[in-house]
Amino acid sequence: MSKYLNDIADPNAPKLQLDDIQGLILRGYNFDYIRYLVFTIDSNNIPGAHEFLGKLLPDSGSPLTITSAAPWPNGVKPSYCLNIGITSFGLKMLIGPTDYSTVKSASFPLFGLYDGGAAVNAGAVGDIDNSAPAKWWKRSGGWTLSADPKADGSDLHVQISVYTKSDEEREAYYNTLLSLIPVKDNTPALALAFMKDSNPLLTGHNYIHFGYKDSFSQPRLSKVPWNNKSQRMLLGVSTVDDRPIVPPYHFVITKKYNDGKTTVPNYRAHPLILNGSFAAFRLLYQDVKAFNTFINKTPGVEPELVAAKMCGRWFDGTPLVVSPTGPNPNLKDFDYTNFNYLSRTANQQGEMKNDALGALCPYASHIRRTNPRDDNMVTGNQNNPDGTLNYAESRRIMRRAGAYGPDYDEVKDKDKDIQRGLVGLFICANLASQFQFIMQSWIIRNGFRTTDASPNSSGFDPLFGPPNNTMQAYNEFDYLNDETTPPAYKSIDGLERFVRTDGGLYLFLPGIDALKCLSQGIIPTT
Amino acid sequence: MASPITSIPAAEQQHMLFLFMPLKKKTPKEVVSKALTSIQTEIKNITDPRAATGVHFFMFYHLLDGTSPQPKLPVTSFQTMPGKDMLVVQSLYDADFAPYISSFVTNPVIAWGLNQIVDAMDETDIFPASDPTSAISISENGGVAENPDAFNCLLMRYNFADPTIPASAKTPKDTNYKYVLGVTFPGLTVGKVLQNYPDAPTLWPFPPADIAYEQSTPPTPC
Repeated sequence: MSKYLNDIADPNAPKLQLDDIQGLILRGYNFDYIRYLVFTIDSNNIPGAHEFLGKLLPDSGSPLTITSAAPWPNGVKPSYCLNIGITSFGLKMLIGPTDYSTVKSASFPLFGLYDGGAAVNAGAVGDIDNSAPAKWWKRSGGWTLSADPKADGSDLHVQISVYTKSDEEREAYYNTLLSLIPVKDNTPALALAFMKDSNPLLTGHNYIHFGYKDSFSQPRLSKVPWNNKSQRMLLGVSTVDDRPIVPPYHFVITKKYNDGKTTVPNYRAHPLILNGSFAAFRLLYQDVKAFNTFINKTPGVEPELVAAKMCGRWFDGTPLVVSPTGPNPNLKDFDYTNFNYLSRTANQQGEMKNDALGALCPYASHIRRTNPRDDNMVTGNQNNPDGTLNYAESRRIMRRAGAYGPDYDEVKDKDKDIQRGLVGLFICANLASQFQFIMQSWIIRNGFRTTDASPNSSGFDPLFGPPNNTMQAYNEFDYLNDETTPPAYKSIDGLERFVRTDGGLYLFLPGIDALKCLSQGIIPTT
Repeated sequence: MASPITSIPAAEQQHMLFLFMPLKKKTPKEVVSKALTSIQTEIKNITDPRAATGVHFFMFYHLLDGTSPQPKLPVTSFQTMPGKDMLVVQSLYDADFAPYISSFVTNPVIAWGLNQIVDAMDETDIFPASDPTSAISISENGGVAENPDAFNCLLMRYNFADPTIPASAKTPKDTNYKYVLGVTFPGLTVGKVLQNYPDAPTLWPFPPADIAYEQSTPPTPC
């Protein structure tokens, strides 16, 4: 039996209170039609906002309620899922500044970034120049208020995601949701500020506009119900998932406990935030035309190869480490994520070569720098104190995002400014050491690995591209071309920003008990 | 063909750390020196950390309560707070502050040494002990490895240096830095030295070889 199954792993971790945890934190819903909504609370009707939150509680009897992580009856997927996040500005309104301060001071360091919000901290994650907060929201379409967005984000308070199986159901549930908002003097307690739909692309399920299949390699959590032998046998995946477990406290805020070696987690948590989480809501425009131009610009080099080296996967998701010469249609299930860079996993497919030099999958590639796996030469992925590999355990994020906007069409889109990209939530317990660390230290910085012999020390994450051309090291994408003898670095100049940030929020995803408190404008004491 | 370096990403910049940390009165000088000695002794058993930590140089100076730095200068220089010793730490390091500190606290040998120093700190009447970033709170809650964010805050509280001011060979135009930090080879990280200087790992092995230092000559007495 795998040592990573719940049956053996992480025995000291507390049992997850699934019915008190919002569902999207622990599992992907796999719905195709999603609507992301951002609301502004009417400062003259905060009781109305409380009432609205009360209606969303699972036991409220409302026609639409928040989806928890409790197993679905008989395993049958519901017709919709609904989740909620609150910005720091919204939380202050809901519980008042004094209680907010109490929660913040008892929750070090988790409020460090959340307190100021995404706009104030934008520079640290590379949201500068054309991605600066002053340019967020309106240019993407979907801004519905008559007033312009505030540059500090203080006018945005509540974010709600509605997940459905069809466009029609999405519209129906959306209307139901709006009907739950109390109205006073013809003014709703929450006004819709922004709306963006995510729909499946024609390319296929889980594809993004650049042409890649996405959503591989979500963190494998211990203690979730489906990480045990019997459940995995039912799913037919019991023997092929070699990924090390990640303790849930990196995603579900948990009281301190002793895991057998030390006291974890390394944060403090006020009772209000227990069983909750934090998330970065991101609205990311993708410039497909510029991306396609870049991958096609080098004579004699197939664009598919350039794209694969930039991502670390072929367009269909086949990892370069597993299949360096092209896609492998024989892969299935966890074959796409069962791999390491230095030493093969037990069930890794393909001919494993130690890729310490980045000859198969460049250090610079998106998937290697966002999840360096067993590469312990990467800053922030050093070995654990006991000498075991860290596997970036404390740096992972749970991605719940999908494509927005129509499929790219080179002919029809010519000379048109069509908005398309990726929208969704990047969930973690500690925004600073997880989300921001990945962005700041691995995605928008070179030199994140020592040693690195590439000419630009791996430059900028090539799928994102640099914000401007002031840093020479960021203007090119270099990869080790193993077709030459000896292998030499291939450099492609002209890397530009392919992903532009058009909106961002830092959210608290309350547990169900916490949501109940918020609906009453109070905080728990124990 | 090489051309002059005209842009340096943050990860290749050198920055300064300049700490003035309050210690308990009469902290034995051996506490700091023992912590450093132990680190240097034990560090032999770990993988070469030089590229990852990116330290170009460091200085530790322990000043006892009520004393002046020796030799005495005709002006006020480092000074202790009444009733406390002071530890002055200066270093030049590569890249950003948080990953630099993180590379230390995740190393158990170095973390042990840092914990000795945190244990010796005295923030009475300076900072509330109840704050999770206080020295006493870090000590009582597992030390620096279990409180990396708090340790960052603790250090920044006593850091005169600005971790965003790069060491430069020529002060950039239109900057308003609070100090001028010069360096001869901006962008030349410890990792690049080890990687690119001919025979660097042989000339400067890890653990370090014993080196005989010839007596340097002081200037003529005035």
